Amino acid sequence: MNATASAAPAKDAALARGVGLELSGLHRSFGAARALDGFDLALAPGELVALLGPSGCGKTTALRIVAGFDQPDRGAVFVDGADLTRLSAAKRDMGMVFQSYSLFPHLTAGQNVSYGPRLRKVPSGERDKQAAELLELVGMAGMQGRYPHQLSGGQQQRVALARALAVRPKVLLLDEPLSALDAKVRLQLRDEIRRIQQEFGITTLFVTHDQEEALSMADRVAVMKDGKLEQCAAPAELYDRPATAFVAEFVGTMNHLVGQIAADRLVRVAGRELAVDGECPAEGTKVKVLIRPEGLDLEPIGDAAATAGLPGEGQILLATFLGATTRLTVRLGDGSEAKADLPSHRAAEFPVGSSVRLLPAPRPVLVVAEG
Amino acid sequence: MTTISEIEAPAAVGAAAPKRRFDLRKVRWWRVAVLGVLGVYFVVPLAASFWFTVYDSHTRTFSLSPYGQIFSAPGFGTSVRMTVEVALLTIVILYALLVPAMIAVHLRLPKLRPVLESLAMVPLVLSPVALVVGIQTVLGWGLNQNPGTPLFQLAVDLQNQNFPLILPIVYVLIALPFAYRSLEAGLRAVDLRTLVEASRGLGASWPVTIWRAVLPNLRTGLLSGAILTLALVFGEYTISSILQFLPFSVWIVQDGQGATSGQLAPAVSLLSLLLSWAVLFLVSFLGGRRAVGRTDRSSS
Amino acid sequence: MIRLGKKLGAWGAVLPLLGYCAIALGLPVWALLWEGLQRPDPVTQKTTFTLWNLTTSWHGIYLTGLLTSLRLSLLTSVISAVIGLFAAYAIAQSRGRYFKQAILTASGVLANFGGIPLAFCFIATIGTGGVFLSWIQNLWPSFQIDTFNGLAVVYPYFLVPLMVLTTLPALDGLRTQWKEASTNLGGSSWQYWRHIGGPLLLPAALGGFVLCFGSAFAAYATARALTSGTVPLVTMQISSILSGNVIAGAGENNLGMALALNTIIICALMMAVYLPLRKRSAKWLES
Repeated sequence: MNATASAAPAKDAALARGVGLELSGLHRSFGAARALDGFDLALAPGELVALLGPSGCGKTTALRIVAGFDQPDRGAVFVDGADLTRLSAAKRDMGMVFQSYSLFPHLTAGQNVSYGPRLRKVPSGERDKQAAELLELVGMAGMQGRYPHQLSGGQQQRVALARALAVRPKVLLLDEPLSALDAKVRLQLRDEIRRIQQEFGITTLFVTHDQEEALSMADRVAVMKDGKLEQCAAPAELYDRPATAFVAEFVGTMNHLVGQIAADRLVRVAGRELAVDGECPAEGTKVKVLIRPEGLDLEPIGDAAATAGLPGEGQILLATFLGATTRLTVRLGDGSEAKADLPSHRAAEFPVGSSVRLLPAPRPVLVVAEG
Repeated sequence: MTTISEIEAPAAVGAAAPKRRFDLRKVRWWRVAVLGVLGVYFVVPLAASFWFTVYDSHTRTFSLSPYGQIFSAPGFGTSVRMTVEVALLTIVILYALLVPAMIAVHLRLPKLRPVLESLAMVPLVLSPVALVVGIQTVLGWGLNQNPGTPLFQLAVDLQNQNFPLILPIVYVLIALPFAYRSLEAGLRAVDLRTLVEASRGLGASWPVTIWRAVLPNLRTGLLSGAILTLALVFGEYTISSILQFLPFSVWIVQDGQGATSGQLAPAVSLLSLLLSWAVLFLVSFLGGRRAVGRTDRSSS
Repeated sequence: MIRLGKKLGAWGAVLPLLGYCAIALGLPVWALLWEGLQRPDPVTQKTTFTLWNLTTSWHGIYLTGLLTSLRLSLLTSVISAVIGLFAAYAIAQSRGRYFKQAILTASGVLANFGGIPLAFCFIATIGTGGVFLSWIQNLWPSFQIDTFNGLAVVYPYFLVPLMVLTTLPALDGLRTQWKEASTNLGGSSWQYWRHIGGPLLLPAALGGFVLCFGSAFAAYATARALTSGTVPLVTMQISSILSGNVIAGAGENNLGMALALNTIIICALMMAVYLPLRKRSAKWLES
């Protein structure tokens, strides 16, 4: 894992130095508030893991503990097997990109990037060359002489990334780096950060509250709640097989349909019987069935049938055009609402106010006991 | 190239633990020490003055009498009245000039900001002695005119013993830095542009907008500025003594000294200082929102 | 057209202030220039324009006064600037909201507190008959309040708050991200201050220092109340001449004007140094 100095500027060889990062049993309280309550997470070398969760869940605290700006009450941080928990932040050899305003305002972009190397007594010629290369890598070629106040938010974050990479860190830490940026810039930078991270193979921990960002960028996503890890899995698994109700709710949209457990790990919902995925309560229990909008189809029913009020039947309340798909909100007989995503050309068949029946896809579903 | 940390990390881990803890404590103590020593420097003279005013070393008695005597000393009433009137007029003129100018600069003429700021700094470094000498000369020119001309009359009016108009005119300049600073802090905390646009959009004229939309939001700044000006006028000695008027501070020096073995003057000084501080402190919380600088975190 | 009208309207709001300052400052300064550059000829009693007043003011006791004033201002402003900077840093770092607000308002009041009230308080403390005088004299036998050293002890009382007031916004503007970024990149505390914090604060600190210097130089009432003439200071000399306490020959008033002019010149120099510094600091730290 230790890269030795090489004359050849092959970036990959010199900088692909992914190391394992492990957070073990972290506890941190601020007075009465428990920010981290036994948090465990392990990152494989070269992996990008996103820490996702609502505000106050402890993700930033965890990141700051890894960076060394905070000390846990209990627990340890291991990098490449070595316990760094008590090591000062300056000696940890990690690169960090903050949310905003972290560039030194009195230094140019080039000087910002070469600040780390300068502290390490790299001679100025080499520093400047390296800074120019890094800036080019992050799409800021030729802008070494610009000052932060002359740069847009997106440009500043690019420079911040280059600055963090300049010290050839073992671990890259990103603290909601895109939150303060415009939507379009955010999307652009998302891809670039991912590309650079993969090219260098740096183990990266990325904090965000934007699930779309997490799902699109990360190798694995760690969903946090109240200082604990709810689930850490690849985006697809997180989406399709959420381990807990919280994760199911938090990631993507989820419908809650009323159902009842029938025999043989089956649940009766909306007039159909579906297999139960994961934990299955006892037969006869009333449950909430979790189904994604894309897992629901609709079929029209005549108005006469609608008044019967069978489960899974209702009326279109709202149609939201999302581009390729349209989300139809259905008000069911029992007063609750369900969302179904249909291709937009099909959604036209169901005008607002018409009566429909829900058709859950014949796939296993998650259930949560009532109450 | 192996980085520093790879070499240092193993060795440092052991040593880092106690060092980190010690570092934290050292920083905190240093802060306490600095503020502590300063606190002593600033509080001791006040405490000593207080002691001085209540303890009579000849008779070895305690008495709060100097504070009582303030009010009964001759000339107290007139000098206080005059000072208050002068102060009020100063505040009125000051705000009438300053508020529209600052609003205009904030909204429309940002390039003039540096000009205003420098203007607001000049009185701090300008010696009041030099200023008053110049003023005396100008007034002298007025008096040298033939009696009966308007200039002569103006010069006389300005120096009316009972209510010297010249004093507020000068005090406006002297108080400018403090009022400017208070108002600037207030303006910065408020989104002026949005307020004005909202008000004007609803049909209000400029005076109404300022009176009803802007000023109420500047309450804290306006009040602090007014209090600082009041304190300044009450404490101002140089200009009024050279011009030979008798506002409060001059009266204190002249009349206060003889009567009560010099206890009166410190008593009054103390009182005015503590009073203005207390009022300012209370006023600063009128604003409601954070009046103090923010502690920025990289993410919340 | 409308935009032009709006700009004109805005100017209309600013002009009264500018005009007022121009007259209130300009007229006295003009008077000083006018009178200071004149001198009645001792023989013919005719007044002529001459630089005599100014040149005299740069010699003899007036030069001493000027130098003493400069010395006192330099000493007290350096001390106050350093102390004030550290104090402002300590305050900016503290968390308590009430504490910070109390200190801020106290600084505002104390910066204003120069002059007579301050003098009286210090007389009560360490003047003759003062409560703590014997204390101080144990440490510093020759100390007396009506000397240069006495003034040097008193001046910081309003200079330090002035420094705190001036530099606190800059210190508050130092974002924690910068310190953390520097640490993260491997910088020690010392390196942070040397490369980042120091350069960023320097303009504001220098500006504060200049302000303190100018303020100390301009002080009159405090010195007057404490020393009444034992320490030669320009401001005191001006007032002595004009109150007729000093016989400087015919046309003495004009000499006083010239002295006053000197102080104005110094003031202008201060401003010329202060303003660019302030601009630089504001750009980095208050955006």
